[in-house]
This record gives sequence, C-alpha cells and structure tokens, in this order.
Amino acid sequence: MVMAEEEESGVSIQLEFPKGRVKKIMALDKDVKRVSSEALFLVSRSTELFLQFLAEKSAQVAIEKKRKTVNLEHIREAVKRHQPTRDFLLDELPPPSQPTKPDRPTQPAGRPKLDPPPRGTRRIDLFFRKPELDDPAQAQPPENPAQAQPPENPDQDQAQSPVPVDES
Amino acid sequence: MAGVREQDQYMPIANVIRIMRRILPAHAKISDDAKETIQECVSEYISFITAEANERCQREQRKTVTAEDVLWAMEKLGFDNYAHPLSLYLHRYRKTEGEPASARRASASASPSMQMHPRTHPHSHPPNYSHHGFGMFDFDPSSQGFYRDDASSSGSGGFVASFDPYANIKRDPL
Repeated sequence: MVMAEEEESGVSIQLEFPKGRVKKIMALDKDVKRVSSEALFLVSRSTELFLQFLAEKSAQVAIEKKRKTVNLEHIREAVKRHQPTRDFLLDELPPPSQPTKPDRPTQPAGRPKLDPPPRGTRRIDLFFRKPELDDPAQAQPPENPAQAQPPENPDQDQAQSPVPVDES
Repeated sequence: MAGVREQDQYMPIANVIRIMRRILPAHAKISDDAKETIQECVSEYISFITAEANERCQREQRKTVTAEDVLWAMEKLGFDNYAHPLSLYLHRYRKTEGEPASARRASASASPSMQMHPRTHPHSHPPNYSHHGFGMFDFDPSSQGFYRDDASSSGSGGFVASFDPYANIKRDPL
C-alpha cells in the first residue's frame, strides 16, 4: 500500500530546486571535482526532503508553544530533537539571544536629615559667638549683655504669670 | 574569477518558502530571521552530504561523485530514512532519462538554462504545462490535494516527450 502510494504520488520527477544552484553550492567544496547528473538529482531531492522535515518539525514546536509564527527558536528546538541534524547544524545556527532579566540599578535613596532647626541654629550661633568673645580682648562689653539677658527672662516670666490669673 | 556571490551560496528563498508552505498549516507564518536561517540550513545540508559523498568517491580513487556515493553518504550521516524514497526517485529518474546519450544531452541542455535562470530571472521563459497535472512528492495524505506550481521548470524536447507515457499510465486506473 505504502509503495503504491509513493509510486502514485511520485509520478513526476519535477525538481523544486534549480539544479544550477544546487550544483554551485556543491562546487563550493574545492575537493569536489565532478558530479554526475544522477548524484545532482539525488542531492536536490534529498534537500527537498530535508526541508520538508525541518518545516514539519518547526511547525510542531510552534504549535506546542501555541505560536502561529515560526521563528528562530522553533527551528533550533526542531534541530535539537533530531540527532543527525543536530550533529551538523546546531553549531551553525545563530546563538540564542534569550533576554535575561536586567538587574535594576539600586539607586540609594537620599536620606533626609531630620534635625530640629531651632536647636541647630542656637548651637551654631553659640559656636560662632565663642570665638568672637575670645578673639576680642574686651571682656566688659560682652558681660553686660550676658547680665542683661537674665533680667529680661524674668520679665517675660512675670508677664506670663498674670495671664493664668486672668484665665482663672 | 571573483568570489561566489552571496546569493549563489543559498537556495532561492522563493523555492524554500514554497516547499515550507506546503508542509506548514494554512494559518502559519514564518518570521524573516527564520526564513534566512532555513536558507542557511539547506545550503549547509547540501555541503554536508556533498563532502561525505566526495570523501568516499576520492577514497575509491574516482573523480566523479555518483548517485551511489550520495546514497551511501546519507545512510552514514544518519539520514537513512531518505535513502529508500531516494532510491525510488533514482530508479524513476533513470527510466525517464532512458539511454545514457540522451541523458547527457538532457542534462547538458538543462544545465545552461537552469544556470541562466537565477542570473536573468526571466518571467516569461518558464512555460506553463497547464494541460498536465503534476503529482505531489509529499508523503502526507493531507497534502496530496494541493496543486503545485512549476515555475522553476524549463521545457526541453525530451522532457515534453516523456509526458505521454505517464499520461497513459494515469488513464488506466481511472
């Protein structure tokens, strides 16, 4: 049955590939000197069978991965699954360009300094005042405002005392 | 003189796509990089088989690579499943070619025209044999119903004459 089918389907020996092109590709090998017409015919036909095989397997891989477009990865997978084809073809295929996950650049977040401005301001002022006091030799003028400040504070305290009295 | 052109190193993309279309599902598409890769795979296959066949040819101190060398190379390289159908093709090919003298004439006349085809790309030269239906070489039953275009064929006297016997053979079963 299989034989009959093959004979029926193979009535025509029409080649799909142009013989001239096959001959040129065969002649790329400098060692090849002469090729008979029968050998040329067989190589052309064999190449058609190989192409059909490759297309069929690539299509199967594409279907397994639920894709409608046959791409490079499907061909590569099809080649891997057939030992004879893999032996001579896998190294010739383009290298797989699998997009690895790019590591995100971990930018250090700016650390906001939470220092109380009033305290910092006072401290800075105190630091600046000390060298000013030491540099000038005049000791009496700075002592006067230092003594004057305390009496001002109790004045503020006295002013604050009548306020609660009014409230009560 | 100059190096082989880039185009001549690969099979024509049109032929490659046509054969693939016959195998692939109707809705399937082929990406551009896949087409180029298939072209390279096909050329690599030809070089692979040729090198192995030529090795045996030289080992036996012969100068012409024969069909037997090709069949032997395919079996050795693991493509033994191709050997049987190719033997059938070879047998039928020898029947069609008939006498060796006519075979040489047919191949001599076919080679220049085939070589000219890729260079000049003539669209009107390949004749359409619409009155004869070509059988499909695919072994898949589902693809037997497809009609195949023969744009790559070139008409010759002997080739046209060979249609009559097959037509008679086809008529008998019908």
